[in-house]
Amino acid sequence: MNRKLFIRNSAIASALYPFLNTLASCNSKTVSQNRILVLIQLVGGNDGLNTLIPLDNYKNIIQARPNLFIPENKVLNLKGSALNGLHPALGGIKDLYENNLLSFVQGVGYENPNYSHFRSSDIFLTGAESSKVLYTGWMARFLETRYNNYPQGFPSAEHPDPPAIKVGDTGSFLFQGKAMDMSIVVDPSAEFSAPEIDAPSNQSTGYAGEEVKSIREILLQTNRYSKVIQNALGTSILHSKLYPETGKNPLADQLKTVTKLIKGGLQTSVYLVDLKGFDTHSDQVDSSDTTKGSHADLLQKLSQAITCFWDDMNQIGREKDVIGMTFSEFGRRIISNAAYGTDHGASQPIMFFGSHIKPGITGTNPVIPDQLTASDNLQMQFDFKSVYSTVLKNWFHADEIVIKDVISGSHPKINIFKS
Amino acid sequence: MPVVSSYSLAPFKEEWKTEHLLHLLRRCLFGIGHKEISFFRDKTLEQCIHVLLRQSPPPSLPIQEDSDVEDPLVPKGKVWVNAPYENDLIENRRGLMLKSWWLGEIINRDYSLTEKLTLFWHNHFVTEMDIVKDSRYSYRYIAMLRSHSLGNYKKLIREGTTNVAMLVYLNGNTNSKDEPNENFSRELLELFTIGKENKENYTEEDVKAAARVLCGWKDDKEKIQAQFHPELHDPDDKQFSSFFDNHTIKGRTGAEGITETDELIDLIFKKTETAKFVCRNLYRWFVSDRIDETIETKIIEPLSRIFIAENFEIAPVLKTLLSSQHFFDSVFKGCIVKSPVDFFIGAIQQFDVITSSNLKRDHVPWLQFYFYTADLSMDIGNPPSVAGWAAYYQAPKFHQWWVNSASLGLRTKILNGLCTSEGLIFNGPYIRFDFPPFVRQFKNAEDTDTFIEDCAELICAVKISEDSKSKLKQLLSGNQTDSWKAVWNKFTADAEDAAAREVAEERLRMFFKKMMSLPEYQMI
Repeated sequence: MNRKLFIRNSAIASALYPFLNTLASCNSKTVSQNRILVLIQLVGGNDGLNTLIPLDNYKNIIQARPNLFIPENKVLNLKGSALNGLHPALGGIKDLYENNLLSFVQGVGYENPNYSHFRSSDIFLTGAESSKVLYTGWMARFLETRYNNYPQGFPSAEHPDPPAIKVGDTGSFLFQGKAMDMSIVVDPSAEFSAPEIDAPSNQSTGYAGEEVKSIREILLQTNRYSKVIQNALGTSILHSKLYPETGKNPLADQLKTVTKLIKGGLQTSVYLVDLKGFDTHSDQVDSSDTTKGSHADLLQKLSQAITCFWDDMNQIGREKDVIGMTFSEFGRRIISNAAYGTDHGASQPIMFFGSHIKPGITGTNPVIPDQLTASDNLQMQFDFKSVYSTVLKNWFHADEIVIKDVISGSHPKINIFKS
Repeated sequence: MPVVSSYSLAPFKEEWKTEHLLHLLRRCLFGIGHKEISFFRDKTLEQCIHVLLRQSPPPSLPIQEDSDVEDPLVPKGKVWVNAPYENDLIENRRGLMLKSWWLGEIINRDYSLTEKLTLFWHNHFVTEMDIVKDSRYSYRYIAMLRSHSLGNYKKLIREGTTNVAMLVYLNGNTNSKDEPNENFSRELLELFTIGKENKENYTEEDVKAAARVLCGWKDDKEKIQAQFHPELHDPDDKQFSSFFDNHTIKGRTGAEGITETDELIDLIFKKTETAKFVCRNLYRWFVSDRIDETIETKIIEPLSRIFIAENFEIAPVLKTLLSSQHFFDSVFKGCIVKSPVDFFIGAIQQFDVITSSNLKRDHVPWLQFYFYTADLSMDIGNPPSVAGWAAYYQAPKFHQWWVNSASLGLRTKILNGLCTSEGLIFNGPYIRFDFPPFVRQFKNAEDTDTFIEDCAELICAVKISEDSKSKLKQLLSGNQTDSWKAVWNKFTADAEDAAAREVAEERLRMFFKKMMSLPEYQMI
C-alpha cells in the first residue's frame, strides 16, 4: 500500500482528462456557487424497516420481527402516504414531510452487498463497486474538479473557503482526495486555532519525511483557512429555540456548528456530520415497549437535530440554498434476532430534506415475503451511485462527463429534485 | 522517494548507537526521556529486547476512589471488580475508575512491552465499554489482554471468545440454536483472525456455521462469568466451505458442546491467513504502515511461519522483528504518527513534572489523563468500532488518521498548558512540566546550538528544520539582553536565586512550547 503510488496513478488519470477540470470550473462559477449539501451519516447500519415503516403488509412484518415491530396504532401516519408510516420517535420528520420539505428514497444499496461495517462504509464513502477498492472519497473526487490541484493555490480569491467541512474530531474517507484530505475538521467542542509553521527541512529522509510533509500540509491548510473559520464561528447568531441543551444530542450540536459556519458566510459546499450507535444487534427496542430503546433514542435525536437545523436555516434565510441527505453503511435484516435486535442487512431508505427536494416517497414499499429465513434481505431498488449522480447533476449542476468520472460508470438519475 | 534497503529479518549487527536505541524504545514504550536512556544505554540490543519482552507483573486491582457517587457495597479503598452490579450511576462511575486505572498502569509501567501490547490487543480484539456497560466485565477483559499480551495469541482468542465482556459486546450471550446471532462469528473471522482484506476466502455460510458452533453461551451477572448452557447449543453438524477444506464440526450435546468451540478455533488457526493477518497488524503497529508485496513476502510471511512454528507465542515473533536489520533500516525512523496515548502520556513520561498529586497512586490525575487522551480521540476502553481505531486499519492513510486540522491544534494546546507556570489544573490539583532538571541532564546545556541539537535528538524522532532551529535559538537567547549561556549559568550557580530561576524557566517554557508544536514532535 504505497501512498505515493495512488497519488501518481490519479495524477496520470487527470493528465489524461485535463478538460474535466475546465468543464467543472465553468460550472462552479455559475448557479451552484452557494449551494450547500449537508450529509448526515448514521454510523452502524440503520434499521430502515423500523424507520420508514411499510403498512401494506403488516402481518408479515409482525411475523418477521415479533419482538421488534412497532404496534400499528403507534406508527406515525404520513398525510398523503397511506402505505407508509414513521417510527413514533420521528415526529419532527413527519412534520417536515407533511410540509413538503422531506422525502424518502426506498431501497438504496448496491449489487453484491457487503455485510462488514468497514467495507460497506468504505463503499458508501468512496463510491466504489462492491468488488473494487478505491482510495479517495467520492465527494473529494467531485470537489477536485472544482478545486483543481488542491491544495496547491488554495485558498484563492475565487475560492476563499475550505472545499468541505467535517464536523467532529476526526476526518472522513468521504473527503480523502488524491493529495490530501479536502476537508477542514471543525470540532464543535473546541476552539479553532491557527498553528505556527516553520520553513520545512530539506534534509528529511525516509518515510518520516513524507509523513512530516503531510502534517505540515494539514497545518498549512488549517492556517490558511483559520481566519475565515474563526470569523464564521464568531458570528453572532440566535439559534433555533428548538435545540436541546449542548451535550444532549451530539448531532444537534454538530449541526449547530454547521449553521454558524453557513451564517458566517463560508462558501463551503459540503458538510459531513454523523450520529453513531446504529449497530443495534441487541436491545434495539425495550423488551416491554418496542417504541422505546436505543433505536428510538437515536431516531429521536436524528429527528430533533434535523428539525432544529431546518428551523435555523429558515431563521438565517438560507433554506433555499441547503439540502440534507442521510445515509448509513447498510440497512438491517428483515427478521429480528432474539436479543431484541437486528443483524447487518442490505438496502435502506434514505432521507432528503430541503425546499428543492421533491416531496414524497420515491420507490415502492419493500416486499416482505410470507416465508423468510434469517438471512433474507430487502431488495435493492436504487443503487446509491444513482443517488450520488443525481445529487451531482441536479444540485451541483455537474456535467455528465464529470459525474461519469467521479462516480465510475453511468447510473440512471432519480427523480428526487423539484424540476 | 524513500526506499527500504534491508529486507532481512536477521539480527541487526551494525554498531549499536543511541539513535538505534531511541528508535527501539520509542516504538516499544510510551515516552522516552533521560531515565529510559540511562537505564538502557549500556545494554546490547539483545539485552534490551530481553528486558522489553519480560511480562510486567499483574497490576493491583482497581479500587473504589473518592467520589460524590456513594457505592453502599464498596467503601473507599476497597476493590469493586467483584462486587455486585448496583445501578447505572455507580456503573458509570466504575467505568471512569477503570479507565483512569488503566491510564495509571501505563504511567507506572516498567520497561516492558506489556502496556503497548495490551493497547495493541485492545485495538485488535475490541470491546467497547459503552456497549458492554458492566465495568466488572470490562475489567476482566482488560486483565485478559494484559495477561496474554506477551503470551499466546491462540489462547487469547480462545479465552476471549467466551470472555464475559466479549459475550455481551458481540452478542454471543444471545446466540442460541433457535435464534443464531452471527455478530461475534463474523468479527472473529473478519477482524480477529483471518481478515477479509478484500479477498475471496471464507464465506457467509462459514460465518453462519461458526455462529452455530458458538451458540449456547451466556454471561452470568451474579457470578461475573461466562456459562455454557447445553440446552441452547445447536447439536447439529456444522458444515464449513472449501476454504476450510469442507470441514464438518460434528454437533455435540450436553457439556460436550463446548469442545466445538475449541475445534472451531483449531480450524481457524490452521489457516495461514490467521498468522499473516496478525503479523501484518503487528508490523503496522511497530514498524510502518507501508506494506507492499516485497514486505509481504520477505517480512510478513517469514514472521507468520515463526508464529505458526512457535504455536502462536507472541514473544518469538516480536523478538525477531524488533531485533532485525529490517526494523533498524533508517527509512523507518520516526515514520509513525504518535497515537494520543503516545502523545500525551509520552510527554508526561519524558519530562520531569511537578504535580500536587502522586502520579504513582492518585486516581485524580489519571482520570484527567484519560479525559485528555479521549479528547484527542483515543477513548481507551472504548474504541470507535469493533475494527478499532482507523489509524490501524484504514488504508492508505493509516497513522495519518490521528492528525487533522482539529486534533493538531488540540494536541499543541494541551501540551502548551503543561508548559505554563500554572500547568494544567483540574479541580484543584495541577500538573506542569519541570524543565530545569530535564535540561540539567544534557551535557553543555548552556551552549545553545549543542543543547538544541541534543534536545531535539532526544524528543523529536525526525530531524527538525534549520528554520525551526533558528526560531528555537531566538527563544532561548536571541533579541534578549542576556545570552542563554548567562541565564543558564546564573541559574545553575545558585538554585535558590528565585529571580534567576524565573528567567531561565520562562525561556525554557517558550522553547519547549515551540519544540512540542513542531510536526517532527508528532512522530515516533
